[in-house]
Amino acid sequence: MNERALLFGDSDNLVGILTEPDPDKASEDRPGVIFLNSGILHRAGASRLYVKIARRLGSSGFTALRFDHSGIGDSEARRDDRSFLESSIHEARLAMDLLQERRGVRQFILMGLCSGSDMAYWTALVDERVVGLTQLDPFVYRTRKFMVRHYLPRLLSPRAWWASLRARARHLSTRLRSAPDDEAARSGWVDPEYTRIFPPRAEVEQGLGRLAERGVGFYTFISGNMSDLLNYSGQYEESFSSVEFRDLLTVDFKPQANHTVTGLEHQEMVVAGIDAWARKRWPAGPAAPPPESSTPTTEHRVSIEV
Amino acid sequence: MNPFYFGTAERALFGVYHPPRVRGGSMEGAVLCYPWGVEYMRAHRAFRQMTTLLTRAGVHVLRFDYGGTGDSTGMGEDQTLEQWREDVATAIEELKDTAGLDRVSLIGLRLGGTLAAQVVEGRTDISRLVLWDPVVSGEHYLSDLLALEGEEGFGAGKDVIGIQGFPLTRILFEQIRQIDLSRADLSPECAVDIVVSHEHPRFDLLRDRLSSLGSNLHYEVVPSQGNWAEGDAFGAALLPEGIIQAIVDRISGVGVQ
Repeated sequence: MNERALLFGDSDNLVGILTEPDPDKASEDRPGVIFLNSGILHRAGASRLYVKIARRLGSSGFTALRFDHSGIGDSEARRDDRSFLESSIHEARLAMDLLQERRGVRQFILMGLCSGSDMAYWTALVDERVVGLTQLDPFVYRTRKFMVRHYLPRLLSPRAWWASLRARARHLSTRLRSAPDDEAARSGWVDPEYTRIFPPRAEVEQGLGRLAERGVGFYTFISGNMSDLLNYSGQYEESFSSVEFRDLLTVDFKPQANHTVTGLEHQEMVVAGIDAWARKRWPAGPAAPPPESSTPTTEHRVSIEV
Repeated sequence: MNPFYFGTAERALFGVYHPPRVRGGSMEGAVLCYPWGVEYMRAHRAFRQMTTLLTRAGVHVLRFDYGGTGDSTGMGEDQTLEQWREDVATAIEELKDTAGLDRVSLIGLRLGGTLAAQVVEGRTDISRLVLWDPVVSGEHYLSDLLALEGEEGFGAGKDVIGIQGFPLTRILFEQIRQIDLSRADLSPECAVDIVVSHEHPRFDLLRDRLSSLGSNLHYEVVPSQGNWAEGDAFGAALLPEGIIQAIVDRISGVGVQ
């Protein structure tokens, strides 16, 4: 497999790694895959997850681009007054423009974990070139069945009542601790600048409905860290009951995996799951023309074989 | 800034070269050596910040990923310490070639510091070695890593375990376990700075060892966050500005008497 480093964006400030598709499996009507940062983790992804997915998809014949939004990873910060949401959507679209211009890719799968999943969703709503969304821990919402499964065992358990009282006492004592100590303890830490706020469920349901009408395919991975919001298979679909997903939605609910998918076996599960979903949804068609290599965006000492 | 691949097609390393941001030619260069695993993720932003300060001080900088890490080629499962030391050596040659320098400095954090210390041995093209919270004892380092996972070691028939999502093979584990800088026969010909975020007996041992071997040594404690391996689910970064500035000062000559 062949990868190359490139600079692109409004002022060539965005750093990306382009994974070329295996030429024996590439086809011209397959979508390109674009990876969006999760929080402030750079484009390699949590524990290199994005690298693994990009290379697996490349070997299956998909063009992939993982890049850093401005101010994250290796990309320089922007000098305008766009909000993080605005600039993220804008830059995701620039990444699509790049693959369209350089590789003739006309359709795209946007992929992200956590905030990357949110940005994939927001971008898909405004750009019809997006035909697939791969979301790891996306917006999810509780259902009545969730409540029953979540609270009923606790209501009936004296141990749960006791744990709840202790948790409240701990919370109170934390609040009473002096703030300067907390600040000092966090000094030197940089937390993600993006505050994740789940929109009202009806709003997301409407958005997903619009995407489904467009025929967008969804691969949705939900980890055990979402257990406060989702606790059974089928809940994701049920929480958006008005959306006609038809055969568009694949949900992988893995309560044993954590949010950043640090288990090696869970990583392989995700990589294999996304690869299988993409190959099934966009099977290899007519062979793609060879990529133009006459317009490199930055110095390339070697092409790499992975 | 120039992101690029260097090395060989079989072992291509991803790096970012940053030229100095000051006018006029500069003869200072620094290769930055990342830590490993979750510490690499935590440190990426700090290294970028240090790069910005170094280039403003007129230093050519090359940051790069070892094979099987970050954007470089290869799988994490296939790596050895020898290969990573060779990667550091390759990066040194790359920066010298790119910037037209005869000598460069090495700055390494945690395991990156340890690799850098091992690489400088016998070389005459290193002007300064900066060890930032280096891993002095592989045994203790591994014990801390295993504690993060609640692991005790490799189970029967297991050749790879995951440490916060990064594969650690039995081979790499054994190689790291052999590390003991406080007993190593280190006699770098360059100036050495040990810059640490906190006092620790193992840092003292390393300082004493290098002193006894006659190194041109500077030891400095800059109280700051040093919990690089602390795990959380949301990928916060560590940016201890004081210690970064102290290192930049050593490289740029501001803090050198």
